[in-house]
Amino acid sequence: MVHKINHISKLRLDVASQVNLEKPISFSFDGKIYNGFDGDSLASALIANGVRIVGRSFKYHRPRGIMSAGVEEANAIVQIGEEPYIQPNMLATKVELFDGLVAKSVNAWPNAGFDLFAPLGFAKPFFVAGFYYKVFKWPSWHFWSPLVRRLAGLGTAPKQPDPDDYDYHNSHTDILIVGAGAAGLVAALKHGKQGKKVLLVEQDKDLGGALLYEKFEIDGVPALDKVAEMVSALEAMKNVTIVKRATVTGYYDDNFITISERLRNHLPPEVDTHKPRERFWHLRAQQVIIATGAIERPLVFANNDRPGIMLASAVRHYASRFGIAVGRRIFIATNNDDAYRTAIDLHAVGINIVGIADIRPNPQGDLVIAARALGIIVHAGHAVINTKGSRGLKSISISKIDVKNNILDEKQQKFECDILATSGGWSPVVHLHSQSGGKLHFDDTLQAFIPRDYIQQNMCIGSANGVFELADILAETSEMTFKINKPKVEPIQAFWDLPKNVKKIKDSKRWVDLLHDVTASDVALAARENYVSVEHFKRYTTTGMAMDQGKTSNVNALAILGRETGREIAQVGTTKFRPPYSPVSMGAMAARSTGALFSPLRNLPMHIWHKDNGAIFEDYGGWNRPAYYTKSGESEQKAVEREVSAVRQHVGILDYSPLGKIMVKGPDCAVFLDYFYCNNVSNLKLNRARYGLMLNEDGNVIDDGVFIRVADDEFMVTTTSGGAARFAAYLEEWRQCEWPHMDVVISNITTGWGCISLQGPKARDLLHKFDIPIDLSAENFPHMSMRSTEFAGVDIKILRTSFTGELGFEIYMPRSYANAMWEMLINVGNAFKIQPFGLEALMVMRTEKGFIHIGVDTDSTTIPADIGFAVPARKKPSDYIGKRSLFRPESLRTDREVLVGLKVVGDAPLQMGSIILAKGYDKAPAPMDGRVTSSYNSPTMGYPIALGLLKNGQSRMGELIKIYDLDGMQEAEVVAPCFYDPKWRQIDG
Amino acid sequence: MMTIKCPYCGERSEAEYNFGGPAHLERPSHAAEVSDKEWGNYLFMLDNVKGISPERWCHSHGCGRWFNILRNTETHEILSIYKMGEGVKAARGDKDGA
Repeated sequence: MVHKINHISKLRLDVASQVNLEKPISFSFDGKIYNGFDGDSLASALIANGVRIVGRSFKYHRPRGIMSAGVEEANAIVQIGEEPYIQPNMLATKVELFDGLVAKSVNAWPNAGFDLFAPLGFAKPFFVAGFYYKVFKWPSWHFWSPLVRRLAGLGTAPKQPDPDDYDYHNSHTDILIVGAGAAGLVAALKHGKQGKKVLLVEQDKDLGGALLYEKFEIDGVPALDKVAEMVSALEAMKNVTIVKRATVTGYYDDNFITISERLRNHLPPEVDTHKPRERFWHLRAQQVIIATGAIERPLVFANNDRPGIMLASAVRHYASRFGIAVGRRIFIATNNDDAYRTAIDLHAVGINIVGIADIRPNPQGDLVIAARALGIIVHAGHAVINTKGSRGLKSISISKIDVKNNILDEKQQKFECDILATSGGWSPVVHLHSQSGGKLHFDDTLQAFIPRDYIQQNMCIGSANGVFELADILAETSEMTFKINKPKVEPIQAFWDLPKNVKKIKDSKRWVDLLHDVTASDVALAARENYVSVEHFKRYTTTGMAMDQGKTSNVNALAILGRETGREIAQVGTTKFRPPYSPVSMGAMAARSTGALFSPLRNLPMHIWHKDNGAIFEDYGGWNRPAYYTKSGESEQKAVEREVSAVRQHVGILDYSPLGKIMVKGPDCAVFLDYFYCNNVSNLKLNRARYGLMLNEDGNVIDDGVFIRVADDEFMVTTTSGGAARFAAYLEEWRQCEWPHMDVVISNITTGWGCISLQGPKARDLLHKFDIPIDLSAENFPHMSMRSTEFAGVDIKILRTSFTGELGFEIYMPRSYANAMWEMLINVGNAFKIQPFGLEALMVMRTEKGFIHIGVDTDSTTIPADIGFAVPARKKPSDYIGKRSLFRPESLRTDREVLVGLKVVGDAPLQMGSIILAKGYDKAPAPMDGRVTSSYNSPTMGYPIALGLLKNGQSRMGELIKIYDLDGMQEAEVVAPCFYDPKWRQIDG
Repeated sequence: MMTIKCPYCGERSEAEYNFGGPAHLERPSHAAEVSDKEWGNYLFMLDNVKGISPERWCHSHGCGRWFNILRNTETHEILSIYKMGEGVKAARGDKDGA
């Protein structure tokens, strides 16, 4: 918290403004404490405190000051708040001041006023357009990138988790109006009165747009009073919703709109914490009315980036809305009439207007005449050419200019001033129109890109549409009539850069894009290097990229590129604007999808039992499953060893509920399923089960599992636990699109049914303790068969199958009964030394047995032949998905990577993923022959084992291979992929 | 994000749908008899049209049904929506689909 200082700055004007001088506020900037008032922006408060340098430029670390009063700010980028509330990339012009606000400059160290990196300014030749590609080639970009990143960052990302909440909001409206300036307000009134559902979105905290600061009168009253009248009329309409502090950031297909609404950024972080900090809207609008206004362009001349050089409109904005004189001696540079408003407004509050340099030889508009009448000196036919003042503007020089012949007079006149207000004309904010797919047209009279060719249900109105005069805007938009004085305005004179006939000017630094430190000479260089397409040019020079999206720089840059390449601006064209218009917080886009809600895990039916019995959980394909159960003080390895040995010697119990379970029913179910497995399905007998591989049309294995014929016209299909939804959708896709004539119904029952797996030699003895009315003997209930029966009044299915190599029974039942059954089996099983086991023990045992795990021992190129299924897959008589691909030359190659077992030489298990070196190599780098896919310490075998994919593996049995990973080299012997019980003697218990 | 009119459920946001590649791709009915080149064409040689293209879509977060869309991939204009098994409806005016 900062302590208070309560004096009023000399720069505060003695005029009525929207700042409340009764309510002082203290805040800090770069560690120093300042005071401001309720209603101030951070920028207005800094200006009032005489802070001229607020940041350093991106590449050269030049001192920069506040240049605007709005979202177009390219210099005053600050970071707000302290851990954990840090918000980087904030514009000082849009930050509302609150008591205790902490702001820091970015891209400067230790602070903006005194920056140790400032000498980089002298390194300008290294930072020309495309410097990334030119300078940092030697020894490599990776050598330089840490340094460049440290120098070039704009702000620091917070290190601590964000304590605030953010929200999504989905909404619909008849009419969306973007921007509540004059045009937006009257449009909202018009549509509101017609009873339409209207959403009016304004990025500022107040409605009114330019009327918040322009000294207009409407119907004989100040414009602000008229705004208040319109706002209360709108607020009275139930069908009109007004959202302030919200930016329409993106315009997508079919009038899909994103809005970033800031609910608490203007408040201290500890206030109103029950509300979300920001809200991200997804809106569908029947019609979008774009009333986003226009942004003033700076003029291009030498050293036009000094603190104190501002947009002309911003100068009168600060005076009128915030009651602040941005300086005491103001010079104005312009090519149009509008800048004269600044002269008139500032003169009215007693500020010295040193002079106006107007490019036009003989301006005679009403505003020009009015300024002259006040005694303000107008230097017609003159341009500001250069400025002085290393830590803030001290003086400017102007020269006579012949725009028609593009010649600058050598003679200069110097004027002392602390502010230079510049206006190069106005650019309609066409970002949203362009994002919507609409095209732009360069208007020669306005010297601006204006919207043309609407693709979606939208329209641009007001100055966003190139209608700049208030009287015209109101007449165009509203059915009401307003009484407004309309001055006679003379056209703007196109003017983009100084003529190059004076050497000193030709070699000067004339900034085009302040945010990215791009100068007119960078633009010329890019043109010389043939980056003449506007899309290439943008990326090469970085003009108009990133958070700013070219708000003040685009048109100037395009015009200079046009001059350098002998083209008109219209021929150069613009890049398509991309969302977001203004930066959006990552938190707002993530909304509630963070932490545990990012990708919620599914719990097992016996979750609470597992938790109470020492389970260590892990995420296996979206399921929260026990990896192993630990007894007090037991290590993971010991626990897994204990669980494996329980299964191998007695009996283990596994919550197997996530196993994919899909029912396929109907007269055509066997024929249908035959298309999905490389094994025969239709010849399977009732109550028998078969292991099968599922392929895609490329012939690659995508899943495996057991399918069981539970009725003549019904199969149960099991899939990997992570693959159930995907495989069910795959079956549906083929059924609907390729074989709609087949009479089949597919139903994914994975989450509805629980599954308990009993594995181990004592599994049958344990089941015998229960009163189950079926014959469990090996002869009458063989491996790979299923029985449906009733147990304790519940219909269950028992499948004899094994993923461990031991005698195994999988018991399927409705999920709600699973926990009771589990506890009963454990209680009775204690007499057989039953142990619950987790996924890690299962993985060890299936590896010992050489059973593959899809996606681990296979990848997207594995075909059945690679994992030992060459014969069934090729011999199956009927067609199936992927079959034809198994006969392509690539599939028939004899040197494919195939599944092998790896018996490690030594005691250390191999790292999964380590590389098998090609024959003849004993160290990396070397060509690779394959890789290790599964690897474990085998408690059963007493040595480390592994599975791998090895080129030409079948014919390399017994060979010693070299395996490389980051820890060094290891050796292993190639063996058959089955370590445990290769003769299958354990399977019947 | 487009609005797509599912022929079974009506207008929904694109987020409810999955794109399923080109429509009317003919799977060789006697796969064993086609040449490697023909099979390769079926697998890999897809048109990737810039302009009007028939596509398969699935209302995966709705009814789960597959259907076809005739869509301009450049402008995202939907020209026609029709059910599986129905032929291409090329009529430009048929924006509301089947």
